[in-house]
Amino acid sequence: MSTTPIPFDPRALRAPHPVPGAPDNWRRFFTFNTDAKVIGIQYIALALLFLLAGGLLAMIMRGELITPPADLVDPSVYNGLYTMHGTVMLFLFLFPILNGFNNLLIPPMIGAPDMAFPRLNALAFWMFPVFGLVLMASFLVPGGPSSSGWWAYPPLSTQNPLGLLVNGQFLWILAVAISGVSSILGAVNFCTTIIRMRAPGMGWFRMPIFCWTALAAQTIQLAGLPVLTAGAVMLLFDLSFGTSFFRPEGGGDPMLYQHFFWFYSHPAVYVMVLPVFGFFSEIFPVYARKPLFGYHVVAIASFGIVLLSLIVWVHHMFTSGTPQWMRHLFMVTTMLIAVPTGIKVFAWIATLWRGKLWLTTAMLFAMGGVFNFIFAGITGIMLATVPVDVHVGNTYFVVGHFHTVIFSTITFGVYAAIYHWFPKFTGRMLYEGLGKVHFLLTFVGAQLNFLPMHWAGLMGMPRRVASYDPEFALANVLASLGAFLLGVAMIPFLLNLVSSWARGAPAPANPWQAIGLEWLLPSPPPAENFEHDVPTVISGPYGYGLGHPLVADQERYEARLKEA
Amino acid sequence: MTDSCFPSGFPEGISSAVPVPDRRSPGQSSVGVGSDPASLAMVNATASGGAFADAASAAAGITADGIGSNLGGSGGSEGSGHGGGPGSGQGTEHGSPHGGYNLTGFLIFLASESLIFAGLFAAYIVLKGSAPLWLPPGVEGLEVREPLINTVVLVSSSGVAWLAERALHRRQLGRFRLWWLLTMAMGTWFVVGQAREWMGLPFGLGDGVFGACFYLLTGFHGLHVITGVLLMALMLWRSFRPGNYDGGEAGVTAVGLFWHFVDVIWIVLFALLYLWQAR
Repeated sequence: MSTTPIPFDPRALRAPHPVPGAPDNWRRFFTFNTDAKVIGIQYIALALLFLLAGGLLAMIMRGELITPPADLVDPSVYNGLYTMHGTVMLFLFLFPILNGFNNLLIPPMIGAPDMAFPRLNALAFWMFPVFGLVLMASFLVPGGPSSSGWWAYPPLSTQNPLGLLVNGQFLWILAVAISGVSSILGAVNFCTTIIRMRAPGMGWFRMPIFCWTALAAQTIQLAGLPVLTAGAVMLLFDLSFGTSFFRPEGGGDPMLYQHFFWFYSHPAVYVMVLPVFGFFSEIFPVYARKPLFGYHVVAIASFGIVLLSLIVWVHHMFTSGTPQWMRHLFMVTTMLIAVPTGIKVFAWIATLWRGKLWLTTAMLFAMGGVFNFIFAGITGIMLATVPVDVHVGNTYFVVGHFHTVIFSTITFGVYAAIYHWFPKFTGRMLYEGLGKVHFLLTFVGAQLNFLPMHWAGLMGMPRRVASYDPEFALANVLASLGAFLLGVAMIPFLLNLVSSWARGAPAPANPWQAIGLEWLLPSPPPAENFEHDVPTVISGPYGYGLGHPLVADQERYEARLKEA
Repeated sequence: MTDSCFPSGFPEGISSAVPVPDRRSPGQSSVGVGSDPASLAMVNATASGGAFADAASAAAGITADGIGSNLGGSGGSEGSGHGGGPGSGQGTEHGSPHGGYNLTGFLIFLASESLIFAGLFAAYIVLKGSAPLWLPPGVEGLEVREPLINTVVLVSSSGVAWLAERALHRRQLGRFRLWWLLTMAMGTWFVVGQAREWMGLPFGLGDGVFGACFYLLTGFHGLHVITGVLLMALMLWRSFRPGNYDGGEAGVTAVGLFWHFVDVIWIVLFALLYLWQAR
């Protein structure tokens, strides 16, 4: 659209309080709102609530494990605790909070006014409280929640001793199925938005890396979730309607379920970690004041990870009676994943190299996340090796490994993203001091919690047990102390979020002097971002220190921010 | 709308000051604020919160409405509510060509949906190859003749749907409705035939792995056929609205695609269930 000068700009009528963001009109967060920025905050707030719930479950477990015998909770209750802890953290915390960031970041980053299908977007969000409640309700049904682990392997998951139609396992499958539908609807929306709604001039290789990684992650959702849904439907039929897809006594094949489950649930890790790779790639250039090293390769590596992620799932089944040729094949493909991820890690380190680092809380969390990720990558390669996996499979070594990925990398990245973009979308600065306390407690707590798990696992402590041999006591005491420290770390974090949003210092449009379309918008951005005045992108992202403008007519956009 | 909420009173005043040509296309009669979801949400928030003249919300309403009406005429209003669910845009969301987005989104959705079937097919093949108990005791195999007739009807209905789409493309609305109705009838025939077959079978869902696979696969596909017929009914109903196709035919195109998809799935399913009976 041509930019004919309009004599009257309706934005001039804006009230002293910016419209989205400030808590003055908080009621819209409880409505069927179709604004992606409202939906994003809805996702993030509710997901943080479930982080507390999942964390509480974890701390009860660590309280149980601080002494060798099962004395705090009954072992069967413990089974329900770890099942629900895993399910809550994955399906009610990480997937939703990353969808929240997709909602917040994708439209402004590509210059779109909103998602391609705003109402579909709101529908997908409102499924989240529904399946959250369904899963939480399983604590209240007779027999308690699902206790078959978050894998829900048959034949354990097809047991229904009380004979009730509505049991914990039934509600678990129902919640996972609704979550799957919501995620597919979200994925359709995110992909369409990124493919069709980019600003003029923003070719594929001028997209911010976060958009690349979001597109890659959502591609995995589209490819993997339908398969999990098929498996979940068959499991539900076995559990509730007497079929024998996976029940050996009726001629079914329990291994088939494992294939269905891991075909999605291994790539699901990449669904979570890819957007976090995007966060790292956005955050490091800002605080190192350097362009991202190897932008093109980092972008393409995301899709390398997508392709490989779909052919590695059997490495979760090395000890499930898998044929030898399959073990070899999947050992090789699993190790190949280290190549695209290694490229990314290399690029981040090269970005930091000789940069003038600005150690904000966001930067600390991002650097801490990469630090932990390198460690998790090394233990990942160990676990991909069949001879090692046969020995440490189903021990605490595995638990330590994937918590280092899912908490110490992915959740660190999520924290980094919160500290980095909070001013943009709420219009308030976070308190750096509280943020650094949060980082310190989280970093120390994470190491204390998850490093001893590797040690216990190498000594042979099996996972998913409420009581253990006293020789593992020291490692477990350390891990439990770390878990409680992580619980304490939530206090400065939540205090910071709430108090900053209520009365933090007003945020300028670009507090970090970052380059990107979202930083050319006021904080918080207006309801439709650039509205009809979408800038034309004339160069690639991360032009730090290069001195060329990102968009045509950049002075005009910057001047407008100064006026506001 | 106009008299019930405060912000919509403003745009008229503003637009008289702003020289915006051709504010709305003739076919689009939705007034002011209602055409834009963001401003609508704002108004809802304002109304429900009771802060009727809340300055911030009012300003947002004006801003968004000014834009919405500015661009509103350019978009296709044939959005159709099936682009992967009831929420996808009907009408102009942001004045962009949403017909195009809808089709992109719908294709992505279909690709994803096809993988559910791929998963079920894979399960069927694996179980058929490995299950020690396959057919339920006393069952020799499936009768092929009637399902074959059903198959011919369903597959040829794809051609009829194509004729309907071609007629619509040539703006022959009467013929479009005729062919479309015939497609729906053929789809219904298929579902009825399937139901008759189900009722006549000597085994149930719980009888052997085959029984479970058979009912799950045909039932899941049957749900898709029923969905397709319902979507076609929706499209037929919409075809009576004046000016329904001014913004393009994305809705009919998408339902047509869905129908072809359902047919292709059935061909694979028919081959797996009925033609490949030997073990």
